Amino acid sequence: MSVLDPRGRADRAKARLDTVERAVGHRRDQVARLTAQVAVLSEEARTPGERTVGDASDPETTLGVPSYSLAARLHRRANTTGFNRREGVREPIFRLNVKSLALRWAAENGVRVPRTLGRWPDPDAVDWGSLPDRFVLKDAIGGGGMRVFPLVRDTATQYTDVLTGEPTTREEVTAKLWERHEKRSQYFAEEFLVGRTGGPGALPDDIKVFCFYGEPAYLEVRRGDQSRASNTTQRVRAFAIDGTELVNVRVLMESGDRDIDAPADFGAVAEAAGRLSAAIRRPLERLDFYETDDGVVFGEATMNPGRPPALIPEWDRRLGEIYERAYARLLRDLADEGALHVVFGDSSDTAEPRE
Amino acid sequence: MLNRIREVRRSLGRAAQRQRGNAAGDSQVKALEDRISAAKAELVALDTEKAELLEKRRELQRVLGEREGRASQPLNRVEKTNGVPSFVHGVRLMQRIHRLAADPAHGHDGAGEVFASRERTEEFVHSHGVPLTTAPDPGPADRVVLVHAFHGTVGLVEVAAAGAVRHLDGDGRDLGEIRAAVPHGADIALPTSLTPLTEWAETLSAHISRPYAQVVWRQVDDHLFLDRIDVDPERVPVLTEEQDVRLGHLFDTGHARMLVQPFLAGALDNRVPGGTFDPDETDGTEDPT
Repeated sequence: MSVLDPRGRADRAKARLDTVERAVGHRRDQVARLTAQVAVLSEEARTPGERTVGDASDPETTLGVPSYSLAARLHRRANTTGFNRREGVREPIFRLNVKSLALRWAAENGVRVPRTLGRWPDPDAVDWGSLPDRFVLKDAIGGGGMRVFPLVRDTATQYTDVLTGEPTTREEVTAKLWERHEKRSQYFAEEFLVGRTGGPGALPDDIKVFCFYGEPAYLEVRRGDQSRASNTTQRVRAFAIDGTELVNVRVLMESGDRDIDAPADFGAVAEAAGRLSAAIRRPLERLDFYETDDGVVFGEATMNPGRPPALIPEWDRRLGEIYERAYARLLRDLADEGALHVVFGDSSDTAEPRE
Repeated sequence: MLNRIREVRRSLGRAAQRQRGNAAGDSQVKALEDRISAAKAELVALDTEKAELLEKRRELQRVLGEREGRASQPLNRVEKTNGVPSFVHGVRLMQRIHRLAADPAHGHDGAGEVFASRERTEEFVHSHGVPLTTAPDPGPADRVVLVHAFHGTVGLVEVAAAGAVRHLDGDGRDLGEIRAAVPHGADIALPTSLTPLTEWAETLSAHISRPYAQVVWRQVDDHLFLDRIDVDPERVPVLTEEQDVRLGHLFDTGHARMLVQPFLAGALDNRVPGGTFDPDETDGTEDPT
């Protein structure tokens, strides 16, 4: 084709335009993410006091604005730095750290849980012969997937550890469980859940729902998030509970390629999360689920995530408002039950519960 | 000849058509080139913006890193924090929550209603063995002593006279100039009864279902009156960062103490339909706490 051929020149110009526009699109994405990161870090660089009073004309009379991250950290400090323990408060949500108890609690609340295949006091007691070709072996305590082994039997003695993709044996798994064994440990096997769109040996994605005393508000779908699978890259997509995808909202967490599926049934996730969250007397927690061909299945309850999300200011405030409404509902319920009120002395507790 | 003429005409027609096509093609190419130029200009502007943002981000990471003795805070570590306690944040947070009650002044627990009434306040004060009556009228006072109490612990005492304020900690130590909003009254004489005042404030606040309350006393001549107990104060001191953190720790403690009452009543227990979740011994596990 001649260089003077107009059609040829137009085609070449179109190709160049496509290249430049792709670069522009990519750069816009980078700038949007950086802008969001700078917004989050700018808030993080201010003290909580500065964030509260803002630029009010009279800092001593401003009420400030809600913030999810500051509220979540208050509750996290209460547990991790011992304020609650020193004052004699053991939040009952702690009991749900024991996976077997959490599953029983969820089931009693009418939410589907994985079927338990067996339960043993120590790793040596596991009855491997009684287990099917695919199952998940785990310690009842511990987090981050360190004591969770989703296994697929290849031969009589060989398995594939689906979390790492590596071959393993019952002896290796037993040894790894003993390495982290604690006095409180208890071992159980449960059915191998299959993700909605995955093959029979694929783990379902984690759906982590941030809940506020009956109101689920924000969720993340994660894959490759388990700390034992160090060779996998984490992928995350974030959504509002109504299914709206939230891009560049939690920007300090690497999102990877985001080539994972959104939940197919946000309504079912919201229903299960809302029901369980309403059964925890706390203004916030995270509840994890799996979406399977058999519906939404409960995973675990987390009172204080290791990394409470630092969201862009708009969403930090939005979730902060939801948190404050949740705490308001909780305090109202406690007061209605006579469990939160001014206490008069002389052994005459004369303050009446609120009507 | 006729054919030759027709041939020439056709040839001329094709040339004209080609010329028209070239003109249209040139115009299309020109439009595309214009768009390429605009896109390249945008790319340059975006590159500049990106570089500026990267520099801002690096600077913020340096600021955050310094707090932990690092040169820079990696992005993936920023969220791994307990945060820093803050007096003003904690107090305002709990106020906003209580103001969501049906009657915002009363709060969810009705504490605001109790202390809005002079009679109920006196009844509460006397029921805890505190001998003072509430002030009959908010008339002039020689001194006002405002005690900031965190559910049984006093963290800050303000002694105000003649438009200035002197600040003390719960043990009576002078904190100096810690507050920008009010004149510092270094020479304000302290009431001789300061210790019982703070002890009474501790007793009273320990029985209020809030993490924080202000207990305000007025001294007229030699007489001390309890002016008010305020669980929803309009004014909360904005102090130096060090003092805000110190009182923030006390707020965190007060928040934990606030939860003792519902915890002991079993009201924080996890729920199942028909009651509370009460796992039995067959689970074979212990409470991890």
